[in-house]
Amino acid sequence: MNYHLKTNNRKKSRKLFWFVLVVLIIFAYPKTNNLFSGVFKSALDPFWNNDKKQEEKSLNFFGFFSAKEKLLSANEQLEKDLSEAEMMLADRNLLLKENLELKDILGRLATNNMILASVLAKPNASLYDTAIIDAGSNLGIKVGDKVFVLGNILVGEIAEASKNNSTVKFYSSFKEEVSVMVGLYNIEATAVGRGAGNFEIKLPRDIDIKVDDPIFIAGTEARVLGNVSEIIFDPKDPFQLVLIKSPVNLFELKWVQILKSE
Amino acid sequence: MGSNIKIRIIIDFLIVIFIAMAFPWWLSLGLVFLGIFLYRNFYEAFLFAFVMDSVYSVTKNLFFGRMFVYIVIVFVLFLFVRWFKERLRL
Repeated sequence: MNYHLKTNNRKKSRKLFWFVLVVLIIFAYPKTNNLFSGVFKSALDPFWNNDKKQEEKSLNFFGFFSAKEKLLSANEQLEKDLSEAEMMLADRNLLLKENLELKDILGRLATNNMILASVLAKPNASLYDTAIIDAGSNLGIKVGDKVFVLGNILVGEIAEASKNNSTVKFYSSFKEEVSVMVGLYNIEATAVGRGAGNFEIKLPRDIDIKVDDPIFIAGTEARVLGNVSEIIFDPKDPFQLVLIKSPVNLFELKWVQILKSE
Repeated sequence: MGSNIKIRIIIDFLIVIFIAMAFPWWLSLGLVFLGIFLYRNFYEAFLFAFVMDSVYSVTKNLFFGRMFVYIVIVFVLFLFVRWFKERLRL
């Protein structure tokens, strides 16, 4: 009785099964994913929209248990912050008006074709560091459209657009690269993502750059990417590592604006 | 219905809820790992990985193009847990 032969054959066929499965996955997986991506997103759409409504209701519920004194001090601080913000806003509006008038004179006035969208799934919902928003090709969204927060802070672009929702790829995702202008002297550089709204830039050490210097995306309109948060400098190294932080917290995103491309 | 099947159904249901409600990724992945550890033939883990890859994946420099992340993690977990349990004779 050859029990060993049967066991050997079974082991071989099992190994062959796993090998064929791996090969199938490598070659067929991307196409199958593309096929089912829209279907799964349509199926999950009602859950994402319902989740947003529940989040808004629960915020009011937990507020009931906060201590009164804590609320009063938070209220005072918020009033101070608000009056400061109002003064800065008035100043900013004057500068913006002057900027637009100058651009109009020079014939470079850009049209603003922004669409507001809410974030259905935040970056921490998956390992890919992407977000799902509720604007899709039905609103004219296309792959490559830029995504902003608070109107002027560029955070990413549309990577996939299905009918009712889109996937946003963040520029700060690990190893993603974006061309930027650094500081007040507009030094051209490539910012490499480190994840969670952080970037790094390698610059020659002779370049004069300070903490809080702004980082822009090149173009007629100054689109903010972030500010310099730290500069790591080693005297032995001919380069300095500049760390940049986005002013928005990507994990608390609720609303984004998408600039439709023409 | 055996308690094993009931627990398996609860785990599957929770994974579906976590994926549908866009909970943090480590919650759904943790439950998938628990399912793979508890049950020898927890093949629905591959289906959940496929759904996650379909919904969230994009082309990225980090992952050599795109969309293999969850399926690779589940595949490696599957093989590792099987090997580990055989070694421990669980």
